[in-house]
Order: sequence, then C-alpha cells, then structure tokens
Amino acid sequence: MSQYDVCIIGSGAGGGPVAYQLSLAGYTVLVLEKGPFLKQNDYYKDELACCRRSVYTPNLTDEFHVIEDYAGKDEQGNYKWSSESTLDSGWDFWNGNLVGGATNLMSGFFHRLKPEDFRLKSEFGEIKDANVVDWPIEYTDLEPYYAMVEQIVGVSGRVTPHPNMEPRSTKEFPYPATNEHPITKFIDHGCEALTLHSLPTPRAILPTSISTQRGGCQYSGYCGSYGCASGAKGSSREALINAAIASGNCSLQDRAKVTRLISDQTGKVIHAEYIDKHNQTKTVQAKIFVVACQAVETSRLLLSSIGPKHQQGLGNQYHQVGKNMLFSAGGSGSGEFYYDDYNAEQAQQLKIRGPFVNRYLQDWYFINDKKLGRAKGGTVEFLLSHPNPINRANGVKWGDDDKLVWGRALKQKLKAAFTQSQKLKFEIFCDWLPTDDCFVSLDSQHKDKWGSPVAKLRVGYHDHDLEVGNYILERSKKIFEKMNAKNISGSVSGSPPPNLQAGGCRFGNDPKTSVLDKDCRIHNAENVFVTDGAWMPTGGSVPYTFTIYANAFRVADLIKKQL
Amino acid sequence: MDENKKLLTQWDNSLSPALHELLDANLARRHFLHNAGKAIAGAALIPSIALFTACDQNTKTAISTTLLTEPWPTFAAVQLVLFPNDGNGPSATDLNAAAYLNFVLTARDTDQDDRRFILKGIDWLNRLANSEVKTNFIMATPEQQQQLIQKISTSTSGERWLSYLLLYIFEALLSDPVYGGNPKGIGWQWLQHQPGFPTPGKNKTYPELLKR
Repeated sequence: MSQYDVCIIGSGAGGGPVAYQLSLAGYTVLVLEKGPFLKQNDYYKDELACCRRSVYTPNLTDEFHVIEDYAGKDEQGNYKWSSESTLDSGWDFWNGNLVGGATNLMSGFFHRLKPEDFRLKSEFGEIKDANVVDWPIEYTDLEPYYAMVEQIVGVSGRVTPHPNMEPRSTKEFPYPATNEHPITKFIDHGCEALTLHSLPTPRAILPTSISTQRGGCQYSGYCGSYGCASGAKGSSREALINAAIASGNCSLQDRAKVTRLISDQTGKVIHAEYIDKHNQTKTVQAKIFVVACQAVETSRLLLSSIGPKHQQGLGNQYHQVGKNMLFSAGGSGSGEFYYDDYNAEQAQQLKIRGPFVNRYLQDWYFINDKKLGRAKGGTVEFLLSHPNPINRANGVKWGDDDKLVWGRALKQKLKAAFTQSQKLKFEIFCDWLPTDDCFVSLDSQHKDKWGSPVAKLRVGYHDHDLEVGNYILERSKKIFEKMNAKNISGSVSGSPPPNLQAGGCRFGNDPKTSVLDKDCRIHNAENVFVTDGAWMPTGGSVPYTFTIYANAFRVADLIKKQL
Repeated sequence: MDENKKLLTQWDNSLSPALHELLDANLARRHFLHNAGKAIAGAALIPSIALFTACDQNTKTAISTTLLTEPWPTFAAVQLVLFPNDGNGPSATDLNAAAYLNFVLTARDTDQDDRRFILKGIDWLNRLANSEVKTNFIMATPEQQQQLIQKISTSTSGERWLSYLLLYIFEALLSDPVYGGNPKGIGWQWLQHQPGFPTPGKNKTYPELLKR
C-alpha cells in the first residue's frame, strides 16, 4: 500500500488548489476523483453530451439523492415534508462529476465576498428561525487568497469602484476583460437612467492565451454548462490539476469512488477506502486527508465514516455534520428585444452570439428598507438566455392551454421563438439563510450501485429569503422597463438551485456548534480537512466558486505548516 | 364511453401508476438543462448501432433497410404529421428524423422503459386507426392521420407518447449533424441558430465519451 503526504477526495474547486499548492511545494499528493478524466480535447459544443445525456454527471439509476421538499403544514401548523428520490422526480442534484468537478461547467462569475459577509450576525442581527453566525475568520484573512486565485486561476475584468465595493490589495485584475456583447450598452443606459451602477463582471475566463496549454476564449457563445475547448475557462482541471500532475508529485485516479474514511482509536484517519474503475475495493494511506466532494456528498462521506471515536460519523460527535446546508436564494427574470423595433444595424448587433454580457449590479447588496430594515441584499447578474436550442425548442411545444402543439402551428411557433427577438435574462443571488430545515442525512432505504446509503436532503428555505429576493426582483424589472424591453417577467423561489450548494460542515470556534475549526480541520480528527463549500456557515450573495477556491488556497498553506 | 375513448383509456390503464410516474420523470429530466437519460441494468444487451453519419457503408445500408420495415415507416408517417413539409423550413423527412429516432432507441444509454413505451405506442396507434378508419395508420388519408393524432393526444399516454416523439424530432432538428439528424445544419439554418464551436467529430460523440 502506498503512503502519500496528502490524499484529496475530489478534484474541483475545493480539491484543486490543495493539490496544486502541495505538489508544487514538493509533497506527495494523491487525488481520488469519482468521475472520468475528460481533457481539453474531449470538450466540444455538443448539447447532447453537455446537457441531455448523463455524460458529465452520474446516471441516476446508479446514484441519486432523496429530496425532502416542503409539503404544506399539518393541523398543528408544523411543516410537512414529502420525500422523493431524484430518480423518480427527474430533479437532478449532481454537478460535474469529472476531473475538475463542476468548475468545468461554470459560467465563471467571480465576485468576492464583502467584509460584512464574514460577520452577518453582528452586522444585521439575528433573524428568527435562522442559524446565522459570524465566521471565525475575517475578510482580511481571505483577501490575499482572492488575489492569488485571480492570478493563478485567471480572472479577467476591470476594477470599477462603486459604493459597495470590497477592499482589494491589487489595483486591477491580472487579465483585461473579455469581449462584451453590444447589449451591454442597453444595460448601461437603463441603469444610468435609474442612477444605478452597472459594473463589468469579473470572470474566470482568459481573454487571450497565456500558455501552450491555456488558450484565450474562442467566443463561441456556449460557456456555462459546457466544458472549455481552449483552456480559457479557469476550471480546477485546467488551472490547477494539470499543473499539479506536471509537477511529478501528484497522482490522480479517476473513476475512484471513496466509500469511507477509516479512523483509529485516537480519532485520526489512517486510510481512505475506495472502489476503483475495475470495481476493486482499495485503501490508501496518507498523513493528511482533504475532503472536497461538493457539499452534499462531503456530508454524506463523513456520515458514512464510522470509527471508534466517531460512532455517529466522522466529526459528528455533536450531530452537526450535514446541518445548515446552503444554496443560493434569489430568482431570475427576463425581457425581450424584438428586432423589428430596431434599425437593421441595431438588430444585427442584438443578434450577435459569442461575446459576454459582462454586467452586474451590487447596488442592493445592502438594503435599507422600511419593511426589511437594514438587511443583507444581493447581486444581480445579466446574461443572454442559454443558447441550448433543443432545450429551447422543447419548451415551445406546449400551447397556452398546456396542450401539445404540433404540425404547421408548431413550426410557426418555433420560427418566431428563435428568430424574432433576443432575450436578456437577469439572475439574483441572495443569501440562503441557514435553518434547521435544510440538512443532509443518510437515507435509510436507498443505496447507490456500490451499496452505500444515498444522501437525503431536506431543502426547506426561510421566508426572509423570498422577501429579499422580491425586493431586488421588482427593482431589477424597472431596469428592463428603462431598456424598453418587452415581455418583462421574473420570479423568486425557495427552490434550491442544485449547482449552487454549500454548508453542511460549517467552521467555527465551538465544537458543539460546528464541524470544523477555523482552519477547516475537523475538530476531533486532526488530520482531516474539508475544503469544498461545506465549511461555509453563511454563503454571501454571490456564486460560491471564487470563495471556495480562495479558501482552499488558504487551507493549503495551513496544511503545509502541519506536515 | 365510445369504443375509441375506451381504447385510449385502456392504453392509460395498461401502464402501472409507477410506470406513468417513471415515464413522466424521464420526460421531465429531459427538459432540465443539466441532465437526461438513464439506463437500467441489462441495457448493454441491446445491440447498439453506430451513429448514422459516423458508420461505414454496410452499416448505413443495414439502417436504411431497417427503416423500410415496420414500425419505422409508421414512425416516419407520424413524425411527418408532427413536423410536416409545409414550405416553412425542413420537414421530419428532411431531418432524417426516423433514422435519428432509430439511433436513440438503439443507443446503449436509452432507458428500456422509454424504449418499450415509444415502440408500444405504434401498436396503440394502429389499434385506434383500425377501430376508427378500418386500416393501419400508414394507410389512412392525411386528414384521417391528423384526426388520429388529435385523438390520441387526448389521453395521458397518447400525449406523453407524442411528447417523446416531438422531443426526438427537436433533437434531429438541432443536435450536431454527427448524430444523424440536422443534415448539413439545415435545422440551425432555418431557425437562424448559431451553433457553438468546436463541434464533435465522430470519435468524440457522447456514446464515445461514455466509454471513458
């Protein structure tokens, strides 16, 4: 049996930085990744592979989740929950089970958190029925690592001061902004009319080539949900794992499913047990283990890892593992621009596909409102509607009466939907308040194809999330009115977006209320760290990937000290 | 209840509630952005044909011959009702929609329940056609075919069956031509859709990636 300095479980945003930093520092590293190793020349703009077949995510017959969703209240006013497997519902909670994880498929909106996000309870006070806490670290602890990610992973953009901007140690992003879609002029105009600050989106996409391995963006217009064919996207695979392997100190096994971490009498983990691509059960020994399987699966693995000192699961002595799961609250909306309303040149510009809609707003990151008081708000991101044509066509087949449309009428509908207008969307990212109704446990009935209990996930939300989302939604729609968009619509929902997950193993100073210490080390298992988004006690109001990357670089430095 | 209504109800009742749910879940999954398709144990036993555009001449000839025998002419006729040659863009025939459906139903990752349901739908359609117009669907007049499709759409199973067929027509219309539909990108051109690039070669199609 081989022994490594560090064994990392998962190769995405949480695993990549640790593999990169430690292997480049000369430590021996093994990365175990459940998914396949698809490389740059395996990624094409193919809607079937990307989004309509189980290629980048597991086949649900092999592996699924059980979701407990809100189902009204009983006569006593208590919440009721309905339980259904994702195999039965079709509501898939897997994201990018690949080398590089879901970072292969991200859109790459890379916003930092604000200092206030690290002390939400102190800044905004308690909210009834929400488990809001301050973090055990501050923004200044993470800031150098945000700067590091911008450099190493590659973030492009233009730093533009605005009232809610966070402090920065560097004046500019290391890479200039990617090309922008002409529709950004419409957004700028609409925001200016409302005295809002339309800002250029920082993005983990390289505008030009930086090495033989990482080319610049090809501007095909197919970015989010797709793997990058040029290496421009700052996936963990492109930016970190490839370099780690090239160092000669990092080995990677793909299609290796870790089933449990085996601990000794002292509580220390000595082996990881996994099933390899040939269905052989193996174990590996290491001095340090890093768990980074994405939030839900990380909790599941810890709960499945029973040991002499971990009778309730690894790190679960106070029943905190899996608790306080987070998603991203908020909603989305859109407006349409009909080509006939514009002259030929403007219409042609609107039709363009390829450059990015690099615009976002943080005017409502903090709210002062009569009803909400001083409250935490969120971020608004603008984007074109997703280009996937099959998905789009499939949505056209239903008529206004919810009956199928076919024949000549269907073809007319399709032609109109595809050729008459450009749809601009906006997405609202708000804090998903941690509550007792959002958590992961092990399902007692269902198992995956390897015989391990699947994760059961209760997905309750806090009503405050909807109030904040609606506050931002109504104001965002006004921007679209100023842009003279048609068919303006939007909605806010408590439904969790499966691709934006965090929490479940929050870090903190008190072992009774947290799973990890402030270094992201399990309180009573000194050689196990968690570096995917599971450590987050509150999530902030931006997508998580940038912060997960930055924190994993921070933890890598701490692991170096421990080795 | 008239005879035809009974037939449609019978079709609905012939499927267990669990299968109804499963088929709906499969359809729903195909509507979500990040997902689709599930195989079940034993699916690998289904002989898989190579992709139509990516295979050798012998295989192409074999597929063409297959498409001449039932149920494929009937599938092609139904697809033409759903996506007609009406002077507005390509028809199902132009899109090679029947060959594409054949590819889907023989692909290793296609769910067996989906496959059985889609194939069984032809039987139910012909039972209805024989009851209604005393002939198989393919021999009915264009007007009769329209009426039969309209009629089956009023049942749960019938609407679901048509929904599946439409989904795979859309895939034949808008997926990469390497999969056999959308020849020379006619679907993209008709809808003025700008495809992404690079596009997959025959060695990088999704069935090839699934082998990795």
